[in-house]
Amino acid sequence: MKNINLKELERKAFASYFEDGLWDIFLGIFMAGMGIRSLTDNVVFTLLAMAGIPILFLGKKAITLPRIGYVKFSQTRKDKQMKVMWILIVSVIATLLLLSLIVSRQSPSVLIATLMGISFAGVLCVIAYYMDFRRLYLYGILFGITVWLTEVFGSPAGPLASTISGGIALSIGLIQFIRFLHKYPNLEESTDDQF
Amino acid sequence: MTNSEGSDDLEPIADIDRLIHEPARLMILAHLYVVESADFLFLIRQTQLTAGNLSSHLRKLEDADYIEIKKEFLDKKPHTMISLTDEGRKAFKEYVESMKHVFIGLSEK
Repeated sequence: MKNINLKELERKAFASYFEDGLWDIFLGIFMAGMGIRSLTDNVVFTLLAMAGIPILFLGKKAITLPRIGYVKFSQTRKDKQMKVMWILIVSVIATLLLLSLIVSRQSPSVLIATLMGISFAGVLCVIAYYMDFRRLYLYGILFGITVWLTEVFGSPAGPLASTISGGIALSIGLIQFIRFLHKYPNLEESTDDQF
Repeated sequence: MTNSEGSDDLEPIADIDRLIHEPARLMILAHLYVVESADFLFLIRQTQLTAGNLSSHLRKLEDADYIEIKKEFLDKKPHTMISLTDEGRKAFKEYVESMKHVFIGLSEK
């Protein structure tokens, strides 16, 4: 008989909101779009990169919530999400400071590139930890590698890496989405008529 | 071993909250314990109970004042939101503690 682990129960409940693969699709479209934009120098792909945003929000509202239901998570979870927000704010500030260092100093580019790659990957991995979104660890590493390649080799290595990473995330997202639709079919009866 | 010694050994078992001790209700309360509130569909998905089964257990828990059931509107759609009452939260905590004590001291001789 398995033990009931309340922490694991809460984690699984929160993680169920990532089962739909929509975040993966969003990140995939963004990374691939930005990569192709750099390779082709066509502004249309910038718009394509942003297409993931409405897909994410509308998908959550129209597909995810009607299939898995709605929950208000506890204050502990809300505190974790607040930490994520602060991590993002601090990382943006740190990135801007790091970029200003690059501009002002003649530092070895490979070292700076490595620091940038590690910091981008690190930030996404920390967010993955607090959001209990395990696939984000992979995307964080891919993004870090992309940043490193971009800084060291420039085009086309960097944009190509971004496109490939985006393709990987998009593929995983689509597989997750199809699995999600099978696992959580629309219930025939209205579940809210029970009371 | 006298009868009174035997019944003393079994007292922790007699004190178990039978309303919570039923597996389906235990699952429902465990899920509600770790969140602020959840709607009916979420509980169906997480517990994998049927709608009728879940309704029946929720009514029993509501009658015992362990849970509160409210109708809310989210994006103009009705949602039945279920949450533990303070009494329900306390009862669940006490149940968890009592289950730990039931098996403390049980040893194979």
